Amino acid sequence: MKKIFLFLIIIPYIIFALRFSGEYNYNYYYYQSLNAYGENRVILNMNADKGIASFHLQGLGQFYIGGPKYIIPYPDNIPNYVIDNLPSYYQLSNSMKINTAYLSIYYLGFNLKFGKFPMKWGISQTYAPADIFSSTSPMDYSYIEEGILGFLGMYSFGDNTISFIYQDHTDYEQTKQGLLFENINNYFTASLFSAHFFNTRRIFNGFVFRTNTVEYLLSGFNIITDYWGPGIWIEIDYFADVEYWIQDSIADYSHYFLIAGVDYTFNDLLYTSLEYIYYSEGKTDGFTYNDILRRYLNDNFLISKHYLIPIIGINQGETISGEFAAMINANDLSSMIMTSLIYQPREYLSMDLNSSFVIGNLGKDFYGLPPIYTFQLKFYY
Amino acid sequence: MKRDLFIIMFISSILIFPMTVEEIFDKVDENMVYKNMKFTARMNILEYNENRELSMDIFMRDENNILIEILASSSGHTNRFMKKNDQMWLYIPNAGKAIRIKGHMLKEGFMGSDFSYEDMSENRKTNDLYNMELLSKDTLYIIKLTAKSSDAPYKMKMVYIKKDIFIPIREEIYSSSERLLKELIINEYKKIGEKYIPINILMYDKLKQNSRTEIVYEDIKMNAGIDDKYFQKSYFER
Repeated sequence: MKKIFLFLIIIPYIIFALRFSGEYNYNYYYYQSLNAYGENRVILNMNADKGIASFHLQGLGQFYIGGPKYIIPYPDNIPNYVIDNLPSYYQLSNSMKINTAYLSIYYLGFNLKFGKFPMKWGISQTYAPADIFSSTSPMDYSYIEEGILGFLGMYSFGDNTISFIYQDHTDYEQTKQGLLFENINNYFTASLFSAHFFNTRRIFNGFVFRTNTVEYLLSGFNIITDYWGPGIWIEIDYFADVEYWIQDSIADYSHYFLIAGVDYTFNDLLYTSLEYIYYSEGKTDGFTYNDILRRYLNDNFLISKHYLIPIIGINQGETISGEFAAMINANDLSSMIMTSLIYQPREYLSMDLNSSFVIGNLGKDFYGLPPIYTFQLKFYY
Repeated sequence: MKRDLFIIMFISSILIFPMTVEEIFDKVDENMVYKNMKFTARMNILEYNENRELSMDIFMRDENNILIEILASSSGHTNRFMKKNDQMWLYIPNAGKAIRIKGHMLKEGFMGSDFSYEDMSENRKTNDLYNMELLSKDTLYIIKLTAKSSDAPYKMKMVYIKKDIFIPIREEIYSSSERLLKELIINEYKKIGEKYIPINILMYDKLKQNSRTEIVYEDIKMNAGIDDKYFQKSYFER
């Protein structure tokens, strides 16, 4: 697969006349009472089109200044014999990599993409459980979108589109397959989707850590409409534990999510949004350190049953914009608050100031994270 | 003799039966509302004495189906923008997923220009969106438009229309508090078939200093055979 991947990069480079664009960011991260470091980030985009084919590549370089380590803020009540088995920090190091590199071919309603291409599933703006291909945690402040290696086949007929996605890996249990049907009509956009994948999780059973791999079949549906003025969306994601349903194993790891949201902009200035997420296997109270550990170890961000996500954004003449967002556990009312202020004096220059902090006591869902402040200077070229 | 009689009848019909403001705008919309047309255009964005240039193809099947493809830009970005019925989408190849444009984003500058996403994709008849009041008909028709539809792009506009060919040569765009927001000037137009089509348009954003965007239409194809494929996801996200 690596040879094919290199081939996909080199051939378009020779054939096409490439266009270049990019971005330079200086990012400063300050974790209150824990750590602070800077990052120089360079993004280079190369794009080309020729007839039915196009080629896209994005390279990423990250170069750190200071003590670039992410210190993991474990809960205070975690026993020493547990924490001794866990890393206390992630060391960040300078790196250069290819984020996306893919060839796209369109012919008579068919679109095929090969290589490492971006792929997003799910309707939620903040946290999309259906995004099994490139899931992100709202707690990862330095996350950069990375493509998936594989291929995508897409065919449109009328207002309908059907897509097949295959995510490749040498280990079969790391491969993923997805099928999506989408309809865009006068009133709404709706999708039906299904995917097959494995999820490997680290679990602490009170004495030792062990890994557990579960084979899942995801089935879902979402719909979004602006027909009545405000945007309204609903999504249902059902994750069936294949082993339990087919091979009759003892434990059932099946679960589902329900997402509903509404957004509206007042006077073309004030953007408001409210989203609700229901997680069938979430707890309602009494969160232990083990629940929090599952979140850290498995990027399993949701651990409670009910969440509310309000967002308020203000945009003043495109030069200054601000956003307030919160993720509120509707059971224990602990929450994670995120704010951002963006100043963009020129099309090619912007300055962002972000902060995030949690509200909650020991035993609540959101607890123990230090306030985080980030400053970003972005220069687009 | 016949010619003189025709001229006398024509002038008397204008004097006896002057056009209503709705009829004036029906004539304007015959020039300004497009179906099954393809435009190749160049956009020059001047901001703070810095110039950026984009070249693009615009596919207009009707008022509900519009696709704009950025073919090249000074910044190297080649995004696509699609209006399909009431829904608008932006596709950025490096992000790999179409983003739904909603609310305040509609008012934001298209690729950082003085034209908004709404300006670039408006192809509905004026009479469906605005109430009209004829203020003057001396050398130009001067017409005040006030929004009657909640999804009209602007609250108020003043439109200056050439009387002989029904082309608006200037538009002033106001907020609900009657503050001047934008000014649009049509510098040049061309007769193609039965239509007079603007080929050089200037837009000034009055809330910004030293900001101006020019669109020059370099190639215009009527009956361009714009079929379903241009408004399908597999073409848009290709």
